[in-house]
Amino acid sequence: MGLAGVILLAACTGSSLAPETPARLIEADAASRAELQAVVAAAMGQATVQLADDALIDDGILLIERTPRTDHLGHRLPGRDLGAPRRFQLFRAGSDCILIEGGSDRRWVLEQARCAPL
Amino acid sequence: MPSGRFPERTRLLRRILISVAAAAVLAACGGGGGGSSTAPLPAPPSPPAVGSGGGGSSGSGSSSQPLQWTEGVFAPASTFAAQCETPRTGFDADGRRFPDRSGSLLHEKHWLRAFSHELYLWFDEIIDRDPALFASPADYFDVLKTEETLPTGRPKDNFHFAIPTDEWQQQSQSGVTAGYGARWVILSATVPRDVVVAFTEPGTPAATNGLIRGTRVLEVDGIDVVNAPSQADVAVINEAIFGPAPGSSHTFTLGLPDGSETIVTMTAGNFPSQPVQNVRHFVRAPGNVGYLTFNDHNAPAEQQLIDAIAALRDEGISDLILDLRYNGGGFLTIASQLAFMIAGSEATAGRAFETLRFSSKHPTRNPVTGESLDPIPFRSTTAGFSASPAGQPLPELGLSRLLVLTGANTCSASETIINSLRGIDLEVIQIGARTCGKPYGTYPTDNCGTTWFTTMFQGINDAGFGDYPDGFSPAGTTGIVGLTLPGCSVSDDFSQPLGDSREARLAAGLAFLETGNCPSAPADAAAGRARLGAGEREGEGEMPGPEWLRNRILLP
Repeated sequence: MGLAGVILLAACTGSSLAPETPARLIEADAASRAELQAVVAAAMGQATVQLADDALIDDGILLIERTPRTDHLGHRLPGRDLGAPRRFQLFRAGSDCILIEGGSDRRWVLEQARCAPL
Repeated sequence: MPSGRFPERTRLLRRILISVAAAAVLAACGGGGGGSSTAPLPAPPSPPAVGSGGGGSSGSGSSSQPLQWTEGVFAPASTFAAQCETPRTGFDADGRRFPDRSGSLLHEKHWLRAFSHELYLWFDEIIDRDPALFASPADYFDVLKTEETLPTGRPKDNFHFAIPTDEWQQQSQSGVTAGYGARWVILSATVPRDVVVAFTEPGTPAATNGLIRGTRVLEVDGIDVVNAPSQADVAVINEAIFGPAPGSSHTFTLGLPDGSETIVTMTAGNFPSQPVQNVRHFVRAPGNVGYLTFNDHNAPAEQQLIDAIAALRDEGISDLILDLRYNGGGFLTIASQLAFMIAGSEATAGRAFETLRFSSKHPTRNPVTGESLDPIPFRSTTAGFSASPAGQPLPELGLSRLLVLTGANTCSASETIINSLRGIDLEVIQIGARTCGKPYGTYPTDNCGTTWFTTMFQGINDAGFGDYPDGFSPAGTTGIVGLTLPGCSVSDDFSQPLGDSREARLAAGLAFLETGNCPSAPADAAAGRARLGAGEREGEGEMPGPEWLRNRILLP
């Protein structure tokens, strides 16, 4: 239930009126990583999502795709993927760190995160 | 274990909890996703056109009449869709309510039969069997494919597969895998076992602890990897090497390519890959030769390929060696972009990168999307996968020939690069070993909690060619031979780093470009190179992902 609570609080916090500038995470600790994972997982309709330990730290962009699978012969499934990844980008608005999903423009304020403009 | 059995029912409670959480968020904040190539979940079915209720289930939506099988007579798949022995409740990953309703295993098997008849590429080669004679949908699915073999004796359809939908839907940051940042190759899965490093990802524990290509794993946590006889020990080894939990630490005794040994302790984590590595050029008299290692058609590859091609263009290269030996495919858009960047706008203008060909039932329209089967052009702009923004022009080399380094792990989208460029008369030279042979694709399709992979289409190049089910083989290949391309058969060489001009395949490529001839000495004769094993992957090794833990990795 902790997961659902974090998701709802984060997802429904309104966005700031301050201008949004591309940003990256700084000093991501366990709490901020857990929050980021919960937010992205909820956005993807999943219980969990596998993120890099340094997600959003280098360039503030997060690309999410289906976890690669291989078949019984070790071939990637599907080896010809006709789809596309989902893209998230971190922005800073005032003191808020906001994660925005490309395409849908859905946004989440990351309460635990510290971020800096790129 | 082509389709196998799995304990999906035990996940039902977890799935319901996930669905409730997802539904709460989506209901509160709106929105929805895209970006999936999976076929949409079937619409809630209309009442069955034939009798239902066989298989021992009852409940809403099922009548009391038994399902009947009549050989050669097929009802639409929608007749049976989402009538499940154990219906899911709640919402799927895209926030849509599961369409499942009460049905039976027999309904699920009848759906598979009708679905295969409608969409399977070789539907007319399926022997129509009574689904009631099979214990499970998975057992029945196993026979819903062609039993034909290729002229080489290999099965015509090697790509029939199924996994639980909740596993298929799992999401990850593009390019991120759990482990130490090393890609392993198994040269021998049985005693004496042989596991070596194919390459490492920069900045990961594997790289910082000195693991390099060709490093052999001798012991893990004090267990002899090469000779350990017990199942329990092998299980520990498999988990420690191929499927460590993030945060877990293991101690490795390693044999380095120079013959020395070292002991390192590494902590597993979730690390991003760098799919494009070793971008460089070699100065040669006829002209500079570019080289890059391309390991995965994942989203980060878009920007990395753009950067690599632009850098090589600026070096004025006149030839490119594209190392695809460990590239098993991925996003087809990435393959299309790279093919464009190699050939250039003039050679690709008005030409097809690929056209999808479905079964004879669907000559003009994609039966899954409903779209017209128009040729897919070479993509000349960014797609916004990792490059931002989308729609920006790609750099181009405008080459008239390409040299590819390949092996058994070169598959799918990687093979499409080769085929698409051959389709526009670009000369492709191949050094290495036979590719996997997968000119086919599918739209993974869910029904009742299982995602089914049945071959639906074949990729055809601009010249109308797509028949390479045994892969592409360089000249001189022995054993199973696919479509032969000019070049040289050269075994993988773990004694040198990728991108090193002394590495056997790259050395052969550079020599071939200069002289038109293959090296005189067999490349696998030197110490430290791939030891030959049994079977069709001879000399190539197998490159497992973490999910192979449930299939096969090292064996007692």
